[in-house]
Amino acid sequence: MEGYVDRSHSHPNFDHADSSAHCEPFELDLHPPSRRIRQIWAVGGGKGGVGKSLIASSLAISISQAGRRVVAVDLDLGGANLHTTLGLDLPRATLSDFLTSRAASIESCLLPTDINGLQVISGAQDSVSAANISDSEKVRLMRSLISLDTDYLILDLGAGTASHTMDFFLASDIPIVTLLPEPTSIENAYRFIRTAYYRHLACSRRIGEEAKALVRLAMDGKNSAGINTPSDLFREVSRRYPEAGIQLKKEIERFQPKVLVNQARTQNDIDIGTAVKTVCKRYFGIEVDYLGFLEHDNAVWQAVRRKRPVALEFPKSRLVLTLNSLAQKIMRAQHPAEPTIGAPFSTMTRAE
Amino acid sequence: MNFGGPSSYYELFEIGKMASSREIHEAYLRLKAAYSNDSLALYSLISPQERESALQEVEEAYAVLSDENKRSAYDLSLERELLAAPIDTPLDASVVSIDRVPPMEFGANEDLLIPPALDDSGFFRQGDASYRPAPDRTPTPPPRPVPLGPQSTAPDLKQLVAEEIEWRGALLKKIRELQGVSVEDLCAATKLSKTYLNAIETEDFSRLPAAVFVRGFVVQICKVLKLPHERAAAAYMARCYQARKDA
Repeated sequence: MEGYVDRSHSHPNFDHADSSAHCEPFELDLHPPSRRIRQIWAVGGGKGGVGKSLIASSLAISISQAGRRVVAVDLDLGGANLHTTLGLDLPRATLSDFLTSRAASIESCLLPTDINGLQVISGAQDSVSAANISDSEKVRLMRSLISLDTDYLILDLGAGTASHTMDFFLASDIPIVTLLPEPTSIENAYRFIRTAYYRHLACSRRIGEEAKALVRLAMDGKNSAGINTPSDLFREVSRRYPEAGIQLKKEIERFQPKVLVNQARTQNDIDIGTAVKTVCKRYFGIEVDYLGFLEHDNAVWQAVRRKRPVALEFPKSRLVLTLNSLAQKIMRAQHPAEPTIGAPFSTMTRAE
Repeated sequence: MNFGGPSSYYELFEIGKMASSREIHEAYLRLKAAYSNDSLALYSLISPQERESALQEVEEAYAVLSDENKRSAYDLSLERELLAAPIDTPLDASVVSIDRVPPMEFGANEDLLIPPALDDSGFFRQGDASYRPAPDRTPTPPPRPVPLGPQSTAPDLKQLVAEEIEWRGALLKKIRELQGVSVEDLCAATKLSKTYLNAIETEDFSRLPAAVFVRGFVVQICKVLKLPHERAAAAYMARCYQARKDA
């Protein structure tokens, strides 16, 4: 079996063969000694059209402009268009080639861009079934991605709550949930967070099997035990197995997604991020990190029409400056010595 | 962790204990907005009943925190609870807090003091025939030592504690009585009123204050009775929350 000795850094969701809540070890370590990647950022959100690809590509450009090497990966296997937001034509080699073994290695799928230090791996293009990858393909893909010689890996996740989408989200160091100030987007964002939350618990190695059985029960919203919410789950686990309740609490607190509100037009839109944070604490018992908001900006559609990255087409726009400061903030949170990004940060407070 | 049962009003408001009145007011407005009837952030996640309940908690907290006198009294009670709260983080070996260390035991040689032993489950053993409370070495050791009951009850008690999962009020009462601790002694050691102690033992939750206080009371009682307070409080509070939710 291929793998690494140290399991302390491995993510359990990449350790099991079955995409259900039953976890069988796959022995994949996300932090092997040979890993050169400083951080993996994942941009998800549950709903299509909320700006995931645009945000992922813009953050990737921001990081590369700070002098770091970045690989942006389009994991929206059913609707890949990250390459378009980066101004690239239909790529020659994609993840389809890697998944079907037509490509010899993940490195052969790397596409250069006009931006110094930024490379792209495009999503599947020509395989109808590629949107649903098997667990073994998922593990092979992740293992290959973390072996890349780069500083940052930016994952552009697909819409929906497929198990592989959840697992890439949970395996990242910076899991970002993008949402719009609209009911449909909020609903899907909560569905996304809820699915990731339960998957995180169901596959945790730190929780005993008795508690996991209740987690799996809770995943069925219409279960007969009446465990309908995370607080029901916590209460029931604590009642039946007080020690397991303490472990469950610690594991819940480890799940800390970050929220980014896109296309904000009013103060109420901006405040939604704060309210989501408050509501998530009450409902899920988790600390959501509100990264900030991005103002609605006409620069986006103009850049998309021109098939040009907005960060290059309108580098002085408020949106791009905000994205730069956001990227800077995240980079420096983990590595305070990270270099600054070229543009001035006149709008730092927008991403607070 | 919140789950509708924050450990303090400050946690509910997500502010520090030194927060100014302006910060309190801003937090209040923010929470009011988050739980307002037309709040988009509630969509598909929070039911109207839960929203009402959350708003009620916010109002209750604001009524205390915005009133200087009520806030001072609340801060005092919170400090007492914090002193009695379980310590999750590993202890600093260089710090020896008097309320963390059980009394030393006398060995066969009366001049030799033996550190208290741990049983299999990690609790301090109290049923040993050799056990005798150590002489008080500090001027005012909190909490006040409570005399232990007849030695013959110890094995039963140990088994009872090891197997217990529900930690009902009636059991706390039974353990107290087995240890020969009177209501007055326990009230003196925990600084609890008889009314509250009785309400805890009879699980009359309607006569008890906010959950944050009840948890502190249970922890204090368990500490004095040398019970696993973390397990006991978690199980007891789960019932308390459920009973109040049902009510």
